[in-house]
Amino acid sequence: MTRTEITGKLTAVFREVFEDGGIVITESMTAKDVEKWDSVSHIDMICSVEKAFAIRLTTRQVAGLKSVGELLSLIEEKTAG
Amino acid sequence: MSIAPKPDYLKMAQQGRGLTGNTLGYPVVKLAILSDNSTRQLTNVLKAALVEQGFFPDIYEGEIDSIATEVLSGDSPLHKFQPQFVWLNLCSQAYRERFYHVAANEKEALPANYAAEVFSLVDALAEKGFQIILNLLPPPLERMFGNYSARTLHSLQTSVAEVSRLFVEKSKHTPQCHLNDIAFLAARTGLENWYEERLWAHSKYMCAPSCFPLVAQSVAAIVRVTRGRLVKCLVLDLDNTLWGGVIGDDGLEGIELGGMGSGESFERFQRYLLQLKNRGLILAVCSKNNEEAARQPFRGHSAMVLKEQDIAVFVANWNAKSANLEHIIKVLNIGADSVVFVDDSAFERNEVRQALPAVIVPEMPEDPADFPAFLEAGGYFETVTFSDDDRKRAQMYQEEAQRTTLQIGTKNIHEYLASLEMKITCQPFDAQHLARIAQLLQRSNQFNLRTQRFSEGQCQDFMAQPDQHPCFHIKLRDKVGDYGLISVVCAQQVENCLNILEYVMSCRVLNRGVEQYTMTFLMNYCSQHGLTKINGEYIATEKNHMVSKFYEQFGFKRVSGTESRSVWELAVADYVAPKVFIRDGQP
Repeated sequence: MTRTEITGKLTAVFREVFEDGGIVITESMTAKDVEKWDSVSHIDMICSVEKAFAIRLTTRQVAGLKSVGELLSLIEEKTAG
Repeated sequence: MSIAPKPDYLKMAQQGRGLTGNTLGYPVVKLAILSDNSTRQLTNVLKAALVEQGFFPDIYEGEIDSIATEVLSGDSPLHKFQPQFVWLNLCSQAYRERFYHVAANEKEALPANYAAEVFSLVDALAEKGFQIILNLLPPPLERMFGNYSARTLHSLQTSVAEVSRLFVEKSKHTPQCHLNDIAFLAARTGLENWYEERLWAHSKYMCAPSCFPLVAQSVAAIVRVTRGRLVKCLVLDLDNTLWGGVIGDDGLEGIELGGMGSGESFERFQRYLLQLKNRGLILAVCSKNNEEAARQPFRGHSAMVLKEQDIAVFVANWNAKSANLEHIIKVLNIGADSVVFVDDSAFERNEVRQALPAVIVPEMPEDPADFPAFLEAGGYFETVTFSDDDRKRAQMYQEEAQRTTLQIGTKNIHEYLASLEMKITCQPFDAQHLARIAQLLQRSNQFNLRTQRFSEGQCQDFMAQPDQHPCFHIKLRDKVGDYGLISVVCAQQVENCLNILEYVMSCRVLNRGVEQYTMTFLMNYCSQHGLTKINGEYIATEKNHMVSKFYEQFGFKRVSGTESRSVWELAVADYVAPKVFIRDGQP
């Protein structure tokens, strides 16, 4: 999957989980930039990402994710090959 | 692939979080969650699950791991909140931590110590009059001894199983304590799908969020039945529901029933339905068929499990199913919301859904092999008690249907009532009948003067003070059959007055003269005990309009109150006993 394809799919996940159909994700976006992105919905987002991309993150990755850019790279890495 | 579609976690969490006012005017449920795991998102899902059941949630969330202090200190936020329900949301992972921290020589005693600790809290809550919901712990995946584990309490899995066994045992002595069997839910889902150890480590989630809806719906189902909303009747289609094929076209030899393949599935579904009937659910048939053809398999097919006498009302004609359902509901005298309609045809299901929105209509799976597990997953058959009367209920309703038919044929109501040869008993509360008494108090919605929902424990307290709390249960039988225990009166003596705290009656015995007989009985009780007045109160609910004029009919005077809540009184000396056609029976 290309980074563009991943970005498209991740946008859909963000819009659903954070209940905002207008979200446009960027590499530098963090929890501060999204109204409903708090510690609780963070877990919901991770679960939805795992389901959407059929991947599994480690506990450390769940806790350590800071930005959308990091998440995109992580998905790219886990879906490769 | 699971048989029943899994409810959507994210949608429920968002619904729960977004819930604002009680715009639909649902009855409010005050529920406190005391938990050893994080409930931040589980609470939102629970709110959505309660709304699904027609309740408006008012929820208090205790701090994680502060269960004992909340329960035991009298001025804790829990006690200030005054809940109706307290959910002790315990999980296997929290127990696991204790298990790992006790010394090897204390391992075997841990389950008993833990269960005793939990039940000291349960008992303290029960004493306050709260209903308690207690989780049964799912088996953990750690068993340390392989297949030998089942034989030693040094295995975590066996230790947890022992805790659950003790919970079950102890809960039998505490009727207010309802078990929330998430151990079964976890098993059904698969333990590897249930546990999400990353999220336990990260946020103290007791299971994967995708399983929260199952947990929440299970709690909501317990709340629903505790509030008296039970499924009472299963209305069944015939062709391709109870057997494969169409009896009118394929004939007795042509339908699929018994043997191997789909025939096995249909036969097994019938066996499952028979167990539900024996448990106390009423079975009725609603089929588009000629009646003669529809009855043919019941009479002449060797693999047919259900017999005509298992079916309380049998309707086979070419009318719309909704019209026939209305007829069945009327004959059985039950609420539409206590009926589950089972039909393989999407057309019929939708027709019924549209015409009778209160009737519960499950989407059925395509394969009859999946029917029982699918219906189970819907959680329709929840109950909080199981008494002898439950076992007899189907028979009683069938007799009732006979009487209704009889009544239609009789012109003079007095003649009809006299012909029933009714015998009644009014007896003080006794231990033998407590379970049924409490059940009737929980279930009666229509003929219920104050809807106080006294629990079995409270009834036990009344029973212990018969002078201060004269309370009676009433049983009726007639020549057609035995109705069993069908009415309960709880009263309180205050000086020279008898105050009626609660009065409920099963609607099955309406228009028989039972309440007239009972009122005369109460007046006689007063005369014998030197009481001069009876006070009563009517508190309106959505369903009890039929008794809004209850006291008026006996000549009681309204002394205060409004349409929705009124207080009535009558001097014993002014009472005129109405004529009844019921005689005293043998207790």
